[in-house]
This record gives sequence, structure tokens and C-alpha cells, in this order.
Amino acid sequence: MENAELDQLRLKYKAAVDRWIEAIRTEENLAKIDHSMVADEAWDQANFAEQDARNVAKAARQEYADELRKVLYNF
Amino acid sequence: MIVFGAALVVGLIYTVLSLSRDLQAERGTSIFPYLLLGVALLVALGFEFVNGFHDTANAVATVIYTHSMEPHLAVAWSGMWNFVGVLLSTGAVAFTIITLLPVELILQVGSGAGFAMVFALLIAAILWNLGTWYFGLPASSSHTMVGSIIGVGIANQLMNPRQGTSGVDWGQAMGVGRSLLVSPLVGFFMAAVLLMICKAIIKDRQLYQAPTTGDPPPFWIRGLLVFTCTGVSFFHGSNDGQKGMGLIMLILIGTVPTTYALNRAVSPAQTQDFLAVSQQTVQMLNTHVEPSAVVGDPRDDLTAYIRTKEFNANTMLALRQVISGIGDETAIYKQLKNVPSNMTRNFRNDMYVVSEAIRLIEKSGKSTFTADEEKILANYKKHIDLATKFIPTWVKVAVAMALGLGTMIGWKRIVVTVGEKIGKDHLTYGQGAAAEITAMATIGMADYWGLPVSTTHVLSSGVAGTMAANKTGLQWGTVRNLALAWVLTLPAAMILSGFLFWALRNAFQS
Repeated sequence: MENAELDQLRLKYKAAVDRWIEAIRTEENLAKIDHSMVADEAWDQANFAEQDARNVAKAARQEYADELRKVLYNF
Repeated sequence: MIVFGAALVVGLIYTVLSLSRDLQAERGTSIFPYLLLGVALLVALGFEFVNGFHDTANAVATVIYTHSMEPHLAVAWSGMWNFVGVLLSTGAVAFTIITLLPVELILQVGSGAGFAMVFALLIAAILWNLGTWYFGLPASSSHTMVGSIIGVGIANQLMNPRQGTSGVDWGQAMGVGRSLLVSPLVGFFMAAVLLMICKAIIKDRQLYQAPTTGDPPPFWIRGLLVFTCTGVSFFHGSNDGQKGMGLIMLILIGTVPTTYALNRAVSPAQTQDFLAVSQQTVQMLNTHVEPSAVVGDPRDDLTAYIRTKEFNANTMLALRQVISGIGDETAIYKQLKNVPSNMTRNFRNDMYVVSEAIRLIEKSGKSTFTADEEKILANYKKHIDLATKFIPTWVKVAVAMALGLGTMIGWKRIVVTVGEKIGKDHLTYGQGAAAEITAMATIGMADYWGLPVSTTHVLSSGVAGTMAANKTGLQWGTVRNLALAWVLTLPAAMILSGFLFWALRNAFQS
């Protein structure tokens, strides 16, 4: 694999991690002081979004790691 | 690679030609047995194929991650040595696996129940091996096979409730239990201690640091790693390959008994020798038969002894009767190849129960025989085993091809787990060598001292041990998954094979 293609995977991974970090921040910000049912619901939804973002980041990491293995170990 | 490819092509041609030549001796009118034989052989070879790629990591993970061998060369090398290991195996282990199966199913292997047994345990083992492979978990193929056998045994006994579970070899389950405790400890501590000894003796820092380039390790350590990879591959072939061979022989005996139930290559001289040994054995047993002993169908009595392991005066009489009968019939036919087709299965079954009964008498340690008499029995057993426990060369070649090919396909998942997901740091040259030497030494210990250890468990634990010794930490998520898979292998294989046996037995009956 060319370096350019590896770079693309690296950038895709970094972008996915950025979105994940953003999802964590969003979730954290939704932990409101009023302890209401509505706030709790929104906070839960943000947690689901964080889980999705984490899965995307992990998949991107795996894809990048798999390609790196091909370059470094030839398999 | 080219040599191995050529060997595969030659092996395939040889296998097909040998099988078709053997089948010409069968004079059946129905095509069903041949179809059944084809499917059963494919399933049995499929088991070896899956076994190949499931266990490749044991041999190649360390050479790949230490850059001692190029990955594709490593798996081809491992495949070739698995191939050689199967071809050079004696076949002695092949029939050991059969002795763990319920004796009544062995005796009726050509029936629906017999086929249900073979298919159930092979399919269950394939499914569990495929499942653990899919998740990249290096579980023990031997434990899977033992679990499948026990599962069939339990299901068979539950379907015949009068017999209880006396036909189930619980000793095997205990052996797996011991292995579950012993293997990780042996692997972890032996590899860790080996690495620490190396660090104390060999003061080359390069050996104990993660490689920063793709350069191979120093020549001597590279040679050591390639040697251990070769050894593990060879012994895997010579050991695991035989499990498939034993089951293939059961399939052949069940579908085409005329050709495979008895070893037709036994010479007239060997037959004469057998008759003399048979007479000597009958005379010796006569001195042990009690006058009060009674026997119904002697083979049934011996079968009951094999199942329950309860020896009594009637068993001795039954043993003498069956041995005497085999001798008389052999004298009539002069040679095994002259035994009529419709009698081969009965002939074989008589020989099988006698051989098993003698084995159990010897193993029980409670026999009343003198040392000389035990020698006579052992000599007799050797002779009948020559007639029933044989493996045609084409079976070895077919198994060697399946295992060798399997080794070269689908190996990546478990290799990645062993190389990247057990420890928190990259495998160093020293760690790779310590773990692989431990794995190879374990195979030797298991063979020579009968230690209940699994190479798969030892290697994975060995890698973990070297990580702990290097103070680099473990990935506990992977360790937890491995432990779970290892503990679940036996019960999962038991449940799978038990259910499959029940379903297939009902399907074959309807």
C-alpha cells in the first residue's frame, strides 16, 4: 500500500477520534444540574451517540492497524 | 512453495486413484453408501482443514512477530511440516481417540446411530473451532474433540436410559479439567522463568527490546525460533493429524466394510503365526476360567465389560470363547482377505471387543494374570490389532493435505491475537523464543510423560508469561476472553455434539 493511502486511513481514523471526543464532550455537557427527567433522557441519548462514535473510531483504528500490519509485517 | 504445491497435486491424484481402486472391491448395487462416504470424508477432511488453520498460530505467531520468517513463507513452512508430520506418523494415536467412543456405537458404525455419532462429533468440533477462530481465540482443538466425544456418549446413554452413563469416559473430562489448570500455569511460569534466565545469562539488550525495524533477530536466535516453529508444526501434524485418521477409518469401515474392516494385507505367514498365538492364549485363559462361569452371547458380555469396566468370572469365559471363535474362523479362511464380505464386520467387531477388553484388563491393574500370562495377552492383542488397526497410506496422504492446506489458510486471526492482543508491548526476540521453546518442550512432555497439557494454552500463556516477566503488562480483556473460551470449550462441544447426535440419530431413523 502506498503511503498516501495509509495517510488517508490515518486521517480517517483521526477524524473519527475527533468526532468521538466531541460526542464525549456533548454527553458530558448534558449532565445538567437540574436532575430532571428530560435532562436525563437527553443525557442518555448523548451516551448512545458516544457509543456509536466510539465504535466508528475503533473500526477506523482497526482498518488503519490492519493496513499498517501489511506494510510492517507483510500480512 | 512449489515443492509443496507439487506434493499436494501428486497427493490428490494418489488419493483419488487409491480410493477408486479400493472401491472396486465393493459389490453394492446402491449408490447411497458411496454418497455417504463422499460426504463423510469431506466432513472429516474439513475437520482437519479447520484444525490446521485454527492451530497455525501455535507455530508461526512468534516467528512472524520477531521477523524471523516472512509470514507467507512461515505458514507455507508450517503447512509443509504439518504435512510431513502426518505422513510420518505411526497411526498409533489414531485408534486411541476411537476407544473413547461408546463401544456399542463403534460396533454398529455402519448403522444410522454409528453415522450419527461420527457426523455429530466432527460437525460439533468444526463448529466450535470455527467459532473460536472467528473471534480470534486460540482454544484447544484436543479439548474440543474430547468434549464432542463425551457429548455423543452422554446423548447416547440418555437415549438408552437403562444403561445410565457408564459408557462415558469421565476420566477424559477430568484430564481436560487438569489441563485447564496445568497448561496456563506451565506456559506462564516456564516462559517467564526462561526469559529471566536468558536475561541473566545473555546480556544483549537488543534481545529484550521491541524491534524498531523489520530486521530479523541475530542468526542464532532466528535459527532457534525457526527450529521450534518447525518442531511444533511437525508434532502438531503427527499428533492432531492422527485424530482425523482414526475417524476416517471409522467412516470407511461403516460405509465400505469389505475393503476396510479387516487388514487384507496380512500375509499367510502372519496368519499362521496368529493362529499359534491364538491357541496359546486360549490355553492360558482356560486355566483362569471358573467352572461356575456362564455366558450368553460372549461378544455381548465383553461389550458390557468394556462399557461398565466391571470384570467378573463370566467375562473371562466370554473372552476365551470369542478368542477361540476368531481362531477357528481364521483357520477356516486361511487368510483375512478370504473372509466373505458379509462376515467382515462381525469378524472385525469380535476382534475389536477382544482388543479393547484386553486393554482394559491390562489398564485396570486388577488382573489375576502372572507377568508371563500378561505377555501372552499383550502378544495376542498385538496380532489382532494388526488385523483391525491399520491405516491405508492414501488416508494419511488425504489428511496430510487437508491439515497442510488448512495451515496455510485463515491463520491471520489467531496469529494477530497471540502476537498483538495478549501483551501490552510488541513481542521481543527473547519473548518470542522463550514462549515458543516452552510450547515445543510442552509437546515433548505431553508425548513422553503423558502430561495433560494443551500446546495452544501453553503458547498463549507463555506469551503472557514473558510479558509479565518483562513488566510490560497484559491486555486483560483478551486474557479474560481466552480464559472464558478455554473453560467453555469442553461444555460447549459436549452440548453441541450431544444435540447434533440426538438430531442426526432421529433423522437417520426416520
